[in-house]
Formats: sequence, C-alpha cells, structure tokens
Amino acid sequence: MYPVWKLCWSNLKNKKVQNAFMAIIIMLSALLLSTAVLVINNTNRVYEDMHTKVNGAHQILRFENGIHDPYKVNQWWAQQEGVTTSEVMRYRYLSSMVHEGEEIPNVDLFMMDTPNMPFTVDKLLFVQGEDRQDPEPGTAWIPTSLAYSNNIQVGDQIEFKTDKQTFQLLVAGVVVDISYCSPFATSGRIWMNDQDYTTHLSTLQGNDKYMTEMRFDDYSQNRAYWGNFEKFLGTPFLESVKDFESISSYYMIANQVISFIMIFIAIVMISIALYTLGFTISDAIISSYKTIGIIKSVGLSSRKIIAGYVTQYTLIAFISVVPGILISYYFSNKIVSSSMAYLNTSSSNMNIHFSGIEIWIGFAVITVIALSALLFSYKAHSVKPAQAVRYGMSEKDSSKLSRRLDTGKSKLLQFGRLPIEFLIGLRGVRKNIRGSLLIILISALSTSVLVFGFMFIFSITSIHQTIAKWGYDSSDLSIRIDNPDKITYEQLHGEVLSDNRVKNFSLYGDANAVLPISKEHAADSDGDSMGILLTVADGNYDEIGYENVKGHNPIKDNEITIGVNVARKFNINVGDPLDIYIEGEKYTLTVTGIYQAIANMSNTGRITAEAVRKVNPKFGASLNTIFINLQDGVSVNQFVNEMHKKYGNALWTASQASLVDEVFSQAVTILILPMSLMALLFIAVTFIIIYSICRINMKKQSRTYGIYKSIGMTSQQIRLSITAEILVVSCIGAVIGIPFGLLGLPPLLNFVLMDYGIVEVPLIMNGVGIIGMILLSILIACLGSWFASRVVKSASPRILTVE
Amino acid sequence: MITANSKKTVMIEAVDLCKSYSTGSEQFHAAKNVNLELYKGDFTVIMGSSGSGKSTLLYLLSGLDSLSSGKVYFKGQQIDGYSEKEITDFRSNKIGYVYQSINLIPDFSLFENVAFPGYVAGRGKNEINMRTTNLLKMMDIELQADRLPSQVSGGQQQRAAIARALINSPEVIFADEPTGALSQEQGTIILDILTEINHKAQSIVMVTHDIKAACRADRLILVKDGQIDGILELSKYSPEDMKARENQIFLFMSGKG
Repeated sequence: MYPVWKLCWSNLKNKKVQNAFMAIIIMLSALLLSTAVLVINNTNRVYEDMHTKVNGAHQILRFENGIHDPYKVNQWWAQQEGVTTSEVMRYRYLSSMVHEGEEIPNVDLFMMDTPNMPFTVDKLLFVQGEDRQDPEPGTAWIPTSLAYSNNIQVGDQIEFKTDKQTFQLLVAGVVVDISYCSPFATSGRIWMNDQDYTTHLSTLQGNDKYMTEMRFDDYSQNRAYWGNFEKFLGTPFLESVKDFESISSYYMIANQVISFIMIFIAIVMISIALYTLGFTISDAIISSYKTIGIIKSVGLSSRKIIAGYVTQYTLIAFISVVPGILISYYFSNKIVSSSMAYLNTSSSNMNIHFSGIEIWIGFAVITVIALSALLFSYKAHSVKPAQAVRYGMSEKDSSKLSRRLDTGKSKLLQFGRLPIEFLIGLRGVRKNIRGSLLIILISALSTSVLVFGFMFIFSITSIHQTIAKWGYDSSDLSIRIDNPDKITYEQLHGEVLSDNRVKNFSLYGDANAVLPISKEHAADSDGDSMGILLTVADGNYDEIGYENVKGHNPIKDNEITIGVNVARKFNINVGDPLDIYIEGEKYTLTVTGIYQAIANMSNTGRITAEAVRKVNPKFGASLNTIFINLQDGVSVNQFVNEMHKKYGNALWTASQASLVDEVFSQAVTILILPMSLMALLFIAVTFIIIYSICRINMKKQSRTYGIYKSIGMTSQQIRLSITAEILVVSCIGAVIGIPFGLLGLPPLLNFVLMDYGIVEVPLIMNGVGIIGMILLSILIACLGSWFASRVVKSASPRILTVE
Repeated sequence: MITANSKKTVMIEAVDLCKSYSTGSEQFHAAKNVNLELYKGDFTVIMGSSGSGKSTLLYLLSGLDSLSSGKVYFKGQQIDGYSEKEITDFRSNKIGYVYQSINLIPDFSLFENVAFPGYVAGRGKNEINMRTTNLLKMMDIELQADRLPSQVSGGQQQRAAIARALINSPEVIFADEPTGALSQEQGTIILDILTEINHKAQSIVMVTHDIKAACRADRLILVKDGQIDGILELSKYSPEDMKARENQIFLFMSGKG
C-alpha cells in the first residue's frame, strides 16, 4: 500500500494547481446538482408543510352563473367522510385597486365577505396585523402577494372602484392566503367585513357569487367522490373548479425551470470535469511516461500505479463534494426563500432541510469521479518500459505525432503567410489535438449555455415583444369603464374609440365553461368534467393579437380555440368537434385553433361573444374590458395619460407594456439571481479549465518557449501565440455552440414548461446580445490562456529549456 | 592568470558576475565574482568539471539568464539592465545559441527551424529563404530540409541548430557542449563546422569538457566552483599542431589540480 500512497501523495503535491482546479470543478458540479435537488425538494416541502398547516384547499368551487345551488353543493361535500369543506363564501369581482394614489393594474380581486373565523380550510396566517375573528368595519385583510409586490403595509389605505362609487379600506392585516398568494398570480382575495361588503358590493349590479373550498384526507381519492357528486347533481358540475395542481403550479414553476437549468448545467459541468479528468490523467501519464516506465521496470505493478491515480482523484472528489453540498444549502435557501416569499411568516419553517438524497448525490459524484479515474488511468497499464524510456510515449503515439507534424501538408501554415504569433498558434492547434478538442468542447458548451441563458433571460425581460405567444393579447392598451354614471359605453365609443388615432378595438370578457370527459379520457382525469375559463371577445381576435400554435382564431359562433393542455387532455386537434357547457347549456363547437398560454396552464378556451349570446342574448355585461390598438406612430403612453387626465377614475386605462411588466417582473426577480449565478459559475469553470489545460500544455511546451525566447521572441509574442491558439479553437467551439444554444437547448425548456401550458417557449433572438455572449465565451477562453501564460513572462530561457 | 591581449577588441566583458540559486534553506553559488573579457573573432572554450558552473556562465554571458549581481557588457553596452525589448533584440540579432540537447522545435521542419529566427527578427521572406538554403547547404543537410527533427540523426539536428544560430549573422555564437550528445564522428563534423565559421571571423564561445574539442580554441577558460580558475592562450600554438595544443591543455588542467 505504501507505494500507492507515495505515488498519490506525490501527484497531489507536485500538481497543486491542476488538482486545485479539478477540485473546484467537482465542487461546482456538486454544488449545482445539490442546489437543484434541494430547491425542488424544499419548494415542494415548504409548500406542502404550509398547505398542511393551513389545511389548504385541494379544490375550490366557484358558483358564478347560478347553475347549481352553492349551499346544497357545500352541504353534500360536508357530509362526505374524509372531506373538509369551508363555509360558502360570497364574493364579488373587482379589477381595480389604488394604493397611495397609484392604480395597481391587472388584478382580479375577489372581494370576500369574510365568514366567521377560524376557517376550516385555507386558514389565513397573519404576517402583519392583528389576528381577529373578522376584519373591523372599514378595514380589510389582503394577501401577501398583493402586499409585497405593491409595497402595501398594515395601516395603508387602499381604494376600490366599483361601477357606482369608490370606497376606501384600511389594511388591517397582511395574510398568507395559500390558494391566492402565489407568485405571478394576478388574482387575490380581499377579506372584508360583512358590513362593508353589504354596503359597498351587495348593492352592485348582478348577483353575489359564491365560493366553497374542499380539502380531502386523501386527495388521490377525489375522483371517486366526484363520481358520486355528479350522480347527486344529475349533471356534470357546470360551474368552475380550481384544483390543487393549478393552485400549486405557480409556486413550483420558477423553481422547476431553475432546477432544470441547474441540473442540466451540473450534468454538463460533470461531463466537462470527467473529460478534463481524463485529459489530466492522460497527460500525467504521458508526461510521466518515462517515470512510469522506470517504476515498472523496477517491479511496481500497473495495478498499483492505477490505484495511485484513483486514490488521488477520489480524495480530491471527497474534499470537493463536501463543501459543494454545504454551500448548496446557502444558495438553495436564497432561491427558495425568494420564490416562496409569499408563504413566509414568522412561524413558518422556510429553512432548507437536508435529506438523504444530498448524501447520495455526493456519493454518486465521488463514485463517478473514482470510476472515471480508474478508466482513464488504465492507460498506465499499457506503458511498456522500453518504449517509455525511448520515446517518452508509446511507439504508436510517437509515430502518430510524427505523422501529424509532417509539415508539408498545409500551405497556410507555412512561414511568411501569416503573422508569426498566429502561425505558431495555429500549429499548436494541430499539434495538441486532444487539448484543442477539449477546449473546443468547453467553448461550445460555454457558448451554448451563455447564448441560451441570455436568450431566456432577455426573452423574459422583453416579454412584451412575444406576449401573444405566452397566451396574452398583444394590443397596445386596455380600457375599462369603472363608473358608468360618468361615462357610458356609447360615450366612450363616441369620444375615444372613434378617435382617428385608434386603429381597432375589441371588447373582452370571460366566462366559465365545463368540458364533459368521455369514458376514453376518464382514466387520466380526476373527474367526469373539467372546468375551463373561456376568453370571450366581441370583435376580432386577430386584431387584438391573439395567436395560435395551430389553426386560426374563432370567427363564427360555432368556433372555439383551445389551450394546448385541453387539446392534449382530450386528444383534440384542429377541425375536431368539442362538446362544451357554457352557462349550463351544451354546445358542440368546432376547434379552429390550438394555442399556448401560461395563464391557467393552457386549460382555457377562446370563443366569440356571439357563441355565448346564443344561450344568453343579454351577455355583454362581463365584456368590460376593451383592447385597443393605436395607429402606427401614436404614442401609447401619451394616449394613456390623456385618458387619465380626461376621465380620471371613471375610466381605467393601462398600456399593455405596464400590465405585462406587472405580471412578469416577479418572474424576472425570481429567475435573474440563479440564472446570473449559473452564468457566472459557467464562466468561472470555463476560465479554470482553459487555464488548467493551458498550464498543462505550457509545461509540456516550456522547452519550446525557452527556444523561442533564446532566438529573440518576446514574452508578449509567445503569449500572443498561445492566446492565438486558444482563440482559434474557442472560435471553432463557439461556431459549434451557437446552433446548439439557439436550437438544441430550447426544446429541453419546452419539455419542462409543457405541463405549464407552453409547448414552445417564445424566445427572442437578440443579435447584439447573442454576439456579446459569443464574444464573452471566446474572451473567457482567451483570458484563461493569457493568464496561464504569465509564467513565460517571468521565466528566463534557461529555466524554460531546462524545465 | 593570463591577462587580456591588448591587440584584440573586447566583445564581452563580465564584471563581478554572480549567480546563486536557492536550494531550500541553502544558497548555491553557480557563478561567483567572475571577471572576464572575451574578444571579437576568438574561438573561446570554457572548460570545467561537471557542476563547476560553466553552462551557467555561458547563459549569463549570452543574456539567456538573469544575474544575481555584477554586470555584463556587450561591446561596451551593459546588457543585464536591458528592457525585455532590448534583450530580445539582442538575442535575435547579436547572438546565436547552440544547446547540448540541440533543442530544435520538434514540430518545425529543419528548414523552418533554421528560418524561424529570421522571421522573428523581421527579415524578408526571400532573404530568409535564400540564407536558410545556403546555410543548410553549408551544413550539408539540404536534402533533409523538409524533415522533422525526429526524422534525422542527432548530428544532422545539431548542424541544423548551428545553422539556426547563424541565420541572423550574429556577432557571437554560444555553444553549450554542442558535441556532448553526439557520436565521435558526428562530433568531429560539428567541431569542423564551428572551426570553419570561426575562420570566417565568427566569434564563438563554447562550453566543453572534451580536450580534443578544446584544442580548436584560441583561448581556454577554466571554471571551478563558479569561479575562473585560469585562462590559457592557445593561439600561440599552431592550429595544425593539435598534439602540442592537447599537451598544453593537459598540462594546464593538471597544473590546476
């Protein structure tokens, strides 16, 4: 055993820089893998812990069309064993809230008449304010999502606009309302005092809407309950159902994306680490060929030489993996607490929990490294002492190298054709094929990851450019009449919509619908029906910029377009008929298009207002939003400001850009830190590996550099030639990496987001940014080699030639 | 100690030259207070036992290594204070260096190895090609011009190395045991070449431990423990009378113990 330890110790001691770099790469791989797993596990755990703690709802039934009696339905569910139900809660919708004089756009507010506390399902947890039976008159409790994203504190006044009046409430509590405070959510429940509700909202046009929530002891059994429930109803449930998957999805989506990217990068990094390991071991064997030959000639077995390498790298892996996993705790804590901030209360347990999986990850990384060391060091087995002493490499490798160096082949590489530094660099590429291939691989990966990462972040930050592809309209602005006493639709039409700056407009609203699930699809589903939210437009879908991945927008009253997840669940394609219940009436519509939408995970549909009017000729009240496109060259902001000045509170106006920013600024906040961190890690790893390879190569070439110096080349010229070599190979790598980053990686992201309703992530190719990333990748490689070649500057020709 | 011959022009002068290396806790002095003059057109040989510091002295005189203290002058100019640009210009244009281990660039052909310093010095392609071809002819290796160093014999490699040292018409050639790695026959060819170019007024400083090789010199400098132990003027003996030179060297070396 002594010779093995001696060999291992000598390798550790003599190649400190190489070993340190290998340790850093292994540590970063373990860090990323462990962070990804911790983030996934703990996001689920934090959510599930909180969901259990507050007795979170698995399903929320909303009664908005008067089809079913909410109290009877609630009573039926309350009688079921294994199901806990909330009280029936009445509510009204509002879509406007003002805080400190600024309107908060793009919110769907459920103005709740707070039932008696304590709640049986979806208990509210107070983050700020006094935990009371119900809000005092004149006050309200608001969810963390609304409070944090708009910087609203207890004691602040918030103002609401109805079609009759505006009224103010004082914020008396900021609460975790688990079903309605997820990231990216645009809806929230405002908990009001019964007296305020009756005064301000009951008197509004239309009827109260109702909501009841259910929690199952065993959620997997809910299908059996639903079978009985629909038997009790005698029809499918024709109102809206929000289920656990859609409630929890927004908590998970950001971390799913982050974790996917982290796992991908970690795997790439481990692959690089393994390849670098192979390169390092092969190089160590080649550079120690003579030594190994001599050691073998004095009787040390190949097995023991190999054991020396395996021990060396297993030790390095062990030393690196432990801190990698420990540091992952810090990063995952940051990521989880950022994405789950809306669930954070003083008593909630947001701390990251380690589990056995992290230990297994560490163990797996160490095992993979040890096995790779075994595989690569097997080369030592074939060292023939005589050949080793004679050639310093195997006879085969020696003749291969001679063949490669046969100079008459390339005219380009002849002296006088290119600057001397560049020529030497190019010749270096040809000579050092293995190292060049490794740098090409690393540059290709680094370019692809940087290009893809940039494209993804740029696409999210510039989402207004592709908003239609995320399932939203792409009109210039939205207008809603908030006070019909001050301005009627007719007046609006006359004064605003007929303005010659307005290019086109459409009225927009929504309706709930139910899709009955046939027997063939029942096995995959939790119930016999599926509730979907319908977008209803009185106007032209094409004009307001809705897009489809297949087919076209609905034009006639018998046409519908559906979200990709509806199409997948029901196995429907363009041209197929679709049975659907709207306001309790059954229709058979033709599917004219399929679209993707992040909202409601593409479990939605789009129909024309005429389709709804076939059942409800008076339908129109809920078409309360008008999407407007302005003529080219007209300033949207100027138009919006004009509306604000002219109509004040009577009209709610917002540019599409501001609405989009409202929704996606949270996504940017959550994604930007981990994505930037990963990009930095990748940049660091690329730099380290290229630095390391160059150092290895320079050691081999030091005699040549000494000769260069002795015949009058400056250190600068030699370093430039080394950098030119890396420049050439990293450019080749970048050329390979670009298509991979632009075309190869996006499908992987599509795969992650498919369940969330996005089958083709709309990525924006920003030429300047992409070129910037390519240049960055090449620059990192060149800097790695430039720094590695510093030794040439200080060393004299004597040192270099003797070394 | 024989002093400088006043009829000759001093080309290189070393004043209190010192070079020491750290070997862990101890300092090893490879050159200690060396004072020396080398003359233009001379064939100077530096001899000494293994580890005496003769190669170190050659590196220091040629500007290939830095001094610990002291000064080196080349034609009156102090080279140890040169900037990097000046020292590289000096290496490129003023000197040629021939190593014992030959040190041709393994992935360059013999032609390229010889021509390369010409490109580094910024000469024109045609001039370099012409000079390289002539030098290869002179060294009798023109037929091997396109071969890699690994594809020719050690003697042919060393001849290419001498040609490389000559490509920029240096004022002095430094040769560190140029025959050390060669057979006697190959070694003689190399020495003949060096003698021949010296006869064309080329200054040569050569390190050797071979008395026969040293017989070719005009002056012999004996180094011991990093110091000059003695200088023997051989020019007063006829170059044809190699036996007399050999005997003088033998006596000189014996006298020095």
